[in-house]
Amino acid sequence: MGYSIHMDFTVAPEDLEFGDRVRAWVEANVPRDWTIEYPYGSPEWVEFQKDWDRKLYQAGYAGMFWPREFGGTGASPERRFVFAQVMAETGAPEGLGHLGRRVVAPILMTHGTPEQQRRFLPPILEGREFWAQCFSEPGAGSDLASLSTRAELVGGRFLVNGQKVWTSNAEFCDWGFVLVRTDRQAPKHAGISCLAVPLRAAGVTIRPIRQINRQSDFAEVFFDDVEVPLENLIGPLNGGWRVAVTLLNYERGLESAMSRFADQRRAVESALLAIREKPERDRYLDAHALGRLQAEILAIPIVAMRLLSTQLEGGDPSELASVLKLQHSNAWQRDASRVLLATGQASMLKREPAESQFLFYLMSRAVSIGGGTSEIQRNVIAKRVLGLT
Amino acid sequence: MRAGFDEEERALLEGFDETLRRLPEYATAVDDGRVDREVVSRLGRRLAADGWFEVADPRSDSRQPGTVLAGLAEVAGRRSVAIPYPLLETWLAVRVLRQAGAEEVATAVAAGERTATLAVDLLGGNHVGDTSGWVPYANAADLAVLVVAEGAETTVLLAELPLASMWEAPAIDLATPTGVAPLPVGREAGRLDSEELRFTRCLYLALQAAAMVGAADDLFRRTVDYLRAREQFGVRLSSFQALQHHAADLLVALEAARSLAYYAAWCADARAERMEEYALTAKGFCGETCWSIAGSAIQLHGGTGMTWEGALHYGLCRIAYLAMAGRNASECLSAAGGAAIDRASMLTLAHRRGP
Repeated sequence: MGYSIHMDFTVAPEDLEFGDRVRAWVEANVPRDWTIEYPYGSPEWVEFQKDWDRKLYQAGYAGMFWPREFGGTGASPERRFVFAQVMAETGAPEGLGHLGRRVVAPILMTHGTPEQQRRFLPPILEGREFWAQCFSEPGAGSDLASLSTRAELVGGRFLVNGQKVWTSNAEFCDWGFVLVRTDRQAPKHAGISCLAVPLRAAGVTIRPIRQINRQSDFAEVFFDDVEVPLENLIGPLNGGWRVAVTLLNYERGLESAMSRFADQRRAVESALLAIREKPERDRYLDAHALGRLQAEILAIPIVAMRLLSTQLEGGDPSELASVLKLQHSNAWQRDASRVLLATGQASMLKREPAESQFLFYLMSRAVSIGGGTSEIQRNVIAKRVLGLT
Repeated sequence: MRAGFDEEERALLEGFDETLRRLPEYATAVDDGRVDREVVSRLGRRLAADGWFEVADPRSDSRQPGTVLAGLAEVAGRRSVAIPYPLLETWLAVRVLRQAGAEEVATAVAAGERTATLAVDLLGGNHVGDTSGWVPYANAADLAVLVVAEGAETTVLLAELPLASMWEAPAIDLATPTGVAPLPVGREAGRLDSEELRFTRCLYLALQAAAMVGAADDLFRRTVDYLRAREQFGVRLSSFQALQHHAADLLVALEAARSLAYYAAWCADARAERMEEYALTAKGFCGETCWSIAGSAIQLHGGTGMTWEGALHYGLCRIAYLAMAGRNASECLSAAGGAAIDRASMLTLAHRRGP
């Protein structure tokens, strides 16, 4: 026999060195407690995030996940993995432009016209224009295809009317990637189109939603007779559902999983410090809880690496991709409450780091809802992966 | 980076599966609690003839890395009725005997001329007082290998079986008759250096983890098949969302367990820094998770799951035995968690080979 090639989780030394350079660059460019220094949603926060987007571009990192033909680095998947891991582990800001870079841009590269690519991609890459995703509606959450915001062709342009909800950072963004109904007679999946809508246009009203963690990451967006030029149609007319599905797949990808992994790791490490304050005799249960929690969190990037390898070898990554989203949502939620219990009463105090821990827990309630609920994800796994119908 | 098997390796795993399918019938012996020397040596000869012990022999051209051994352990674990053979223990025994310089015995075990087992609790550093701790197949193998670590010294002892002093410890897992012997026992066969002891311990934990994943995978796939076939209320069970969601959660848990098992095997191969913690994490998580998957498999089979004929009990008991043998799964997690608490830092990806 003599099998020399085998499973290998090592990362090439040049990619690790690249990771070290990125780490050093982040540490030199991001204030250590930027989350406290720039309160979420404040004008300073918005400027800080936009500035970060521009820094990423200037350092050549904004296009890490983009192909060369669109101004990206064309980096290998391994290098992208290392980049995502370092950015997540160093607690670097995501930038206001992350949705544009990670989600909207790949869609424009796949479904956009050459004119749209020339118009929209450079400002996304350079941190000059920012995008929000306008999908969900009050009557169309998990059942997204039943959306009712409509765009009618009137006088050579679209006239958009309706309401979106759960739009992240809408008030700070320039463009909305908006799903609209363009054919009310067609079956619900068939009458949908995608539009690039300027969020500062007349007729657009944005109302922030206050969440249980007191922040306002999301907003409601109202469209009243908003005029949108025909050339802002992305993908085919009435063919928007396929485009939307592409977007949701990007949203459930590697970077998102790595980011959650790092968030969870930080939360656990804050609990570790609290546990170390306890007398030795009280640590036994904590040690088991921490061991379990650590295992669940560690499994996330390993599944992500398996997913990456499957893609590299031309295999079908959909099974592991479905698993990964549900895995990190489940893990985050379970672990966020375990972190509080392991920390004990101190975690209920309104002072740092306890307050951040509790806010982290509150936000964990959202991960099984946003980007497709865990229940929908379970439906997908059961039906498409396991054939349970 | 290659976080999966290549074609050659997949062919090897399929070849092993094929050998296992063609093994002489053994389920009756398991059911009757009659896993004895005759059954074990018959299976051993067949496995050796196809070269399945050489895969763990460091002197053999057929030797395989720990990740592939983990793959083979998973394949073996998928047999609905576990093969009544000390497979993992034979692999480890061959390796330990070679590294200790007991060449002649190692060659005989690798060739299937003598069947060997391992004192798994002793290897794991489990506290067993003045005894060997569990020795799987103590009634049925020819030799027991005992790895005794005392301070910086690790001695490998070799005991001819059966031992008059050994008493039976009847196992719930009928495929794994187990014995315990008072120490001291056997003769010294050589010594292990500390690095080899570390590696052997980590590899054993990773192989146990992979074997449990195999058993849980079999129980899970059979459960999915059952949900698709069984009808109630005039429809298939698979159409009920509550059951679909339960199955989806089991798949997520299974893939997390599988990922940790292979990662731990790779960390052992790579002699990665903190390889013990990855191994403990894998064994601990796979033990608790696969055990829980087995419980869910019974639940989702309804009454059928509680019957002997339903045959889920084999996998459940196999997982429970593996979770306890050597080092108990929950203790493994506590040890890994304790290390993180002491360091004030969580385990993260290793990425690099060790020195």
